[in-house]
Formats: sequence, C-alpha cells, structure tokens
Amino acid sequence: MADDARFSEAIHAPNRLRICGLLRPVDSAEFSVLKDTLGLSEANLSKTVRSLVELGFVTVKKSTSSSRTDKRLTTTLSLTPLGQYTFDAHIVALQRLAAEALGDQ
Amino acid sequence: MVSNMESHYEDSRYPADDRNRDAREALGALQSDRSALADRVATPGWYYPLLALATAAIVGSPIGTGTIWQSLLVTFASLGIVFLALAYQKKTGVTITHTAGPRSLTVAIVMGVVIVLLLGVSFALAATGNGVWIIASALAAFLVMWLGGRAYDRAFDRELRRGR
Repeated sequence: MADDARFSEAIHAPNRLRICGLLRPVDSAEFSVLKDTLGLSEANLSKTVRSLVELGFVTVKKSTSSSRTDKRLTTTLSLTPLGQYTFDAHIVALQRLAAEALGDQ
Repeated sequence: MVSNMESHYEDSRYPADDRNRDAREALGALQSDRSALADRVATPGWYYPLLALATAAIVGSPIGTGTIWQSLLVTFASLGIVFLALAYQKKTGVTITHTAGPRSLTVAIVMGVVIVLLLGVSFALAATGNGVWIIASALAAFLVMWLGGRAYDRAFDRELRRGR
C-alpha cells in the first residue's frame, strides 16, 4: 500500500479509475463482472482496458471457462503491482484533496 | 498538501473548489462501485456449512488413524474445499485470496489458529486412546468454521465497502 500521495492524471479518468478501484481488492475479475458492475458498454470497457494495459496498470488473460457453454474464451483482468501502487497513491491524493475541502468549510 | 501533483491539478487557473469537488465525486463513485462489488461477491448460503463439513472431516480424520479411512477423509475433504473455491469463483466471476483489511485478517488468523489447535487436539486424543472424543473436536471445528466464516464475511463486507 502506497503511503505517499501522488496524483496520476493517467489513472484519474473516471472509467480508468473505477476499473482499477474494482480490481484493487480482488486478485482477478472477469470482463463481464466489470461490464455489469460499472454499467459500461463492451466497446467502451474494451477501449479503456486497452489503455490501462498499455500503461502497464492492468494485465489481461484469456482462458477457457466451465462457466461458458460456448467455446469462447473468458477474459480475466488483474491489476499489476504498478497499477496497485499508482492507484493507492492516487487515492491518497484524492483523500487529501477531499479533506482539504472539508477543512475549508 | 498533496505532493507530486501533475497536470491541471497543479494549474492555478483550476479553482481549488472544483478540484476538491472533483476528488470527492471520484471517491464517491469508487465507494458506490465497491458496494456493488461487495453485493456481488457475497458468499452464498451453502458455502460455509459445506466448508465447515470438510474442515470437520479433516479435524476428525485422526479417528481413523492407521486405517485407509483417514487418508480417504483427508483426500475427499481437501478435494471438497478445492471444488468449493472453484464454485465460488464460477458464481461470482472474481478470485479473491486475500483479506480486505485488518479486521477480516484478524478473524482469518484466529480461525486458522483454532482449527490447527483442534487438529492437534484430535491427534493427541487419538494417541492417548481417547478416540471417541475426536468427534467433539470435529464438531468444534465445524462450529468454528461455520460461525467464524460468517463473522469473516461480515468483516470482509464492511471493509470492502469502506475500503479504497
């Protein structure tokens, strides 16, 4: 867990941040779980995941799954150590900003 | 003050009020997503009774010390635990192998220690010729896993909803 605050513009875009937020407490999650939970279209989620993969924050694994009746592969996503560190540091930064706002009131 | 900030968050033309509101909204959205995730990963009602049964079988296995039954009990109970984990993964679509915070970690450690102690008690009872009392040890393991599992779930759920 990162203790220092580091705002990351790369992760701050809402969908990127929400994807990382869902992946942070789990080891991995299926693509369909993220799609349903975030309420994003498949195309939108795929595009955002691709950008997170390019940044080195997320890894994608495709494998067969007993939960599918067809032969399509199940896509599973995980946060990389870099993604975890960047997300944690970004959240600390956001929490400090939010706390500053409360302090001003 | 937040250090190492980048881009428009450092830009003095970006008002502090907007910046702080933006941060609050982002954190609120994350918390809402975590609640949805917590609902999704909630353990099904059959999970802990079956896990408790498998645990009780392992803790009670010394009752068959020196026989094929001990190996069979441990083998089937271990396979049962693996199948339970896979069934949970299939149902929820997520894999979780770590705790969500200090409280759920504490519950998991306490449960693990108690189960190992009960297994030790079972072996001691078998070695001292008090094999019949192993049933009590297995029953205790069943209750620890069932009730402790529910306590773990409550702690995990609370920490997941509240966490980062």
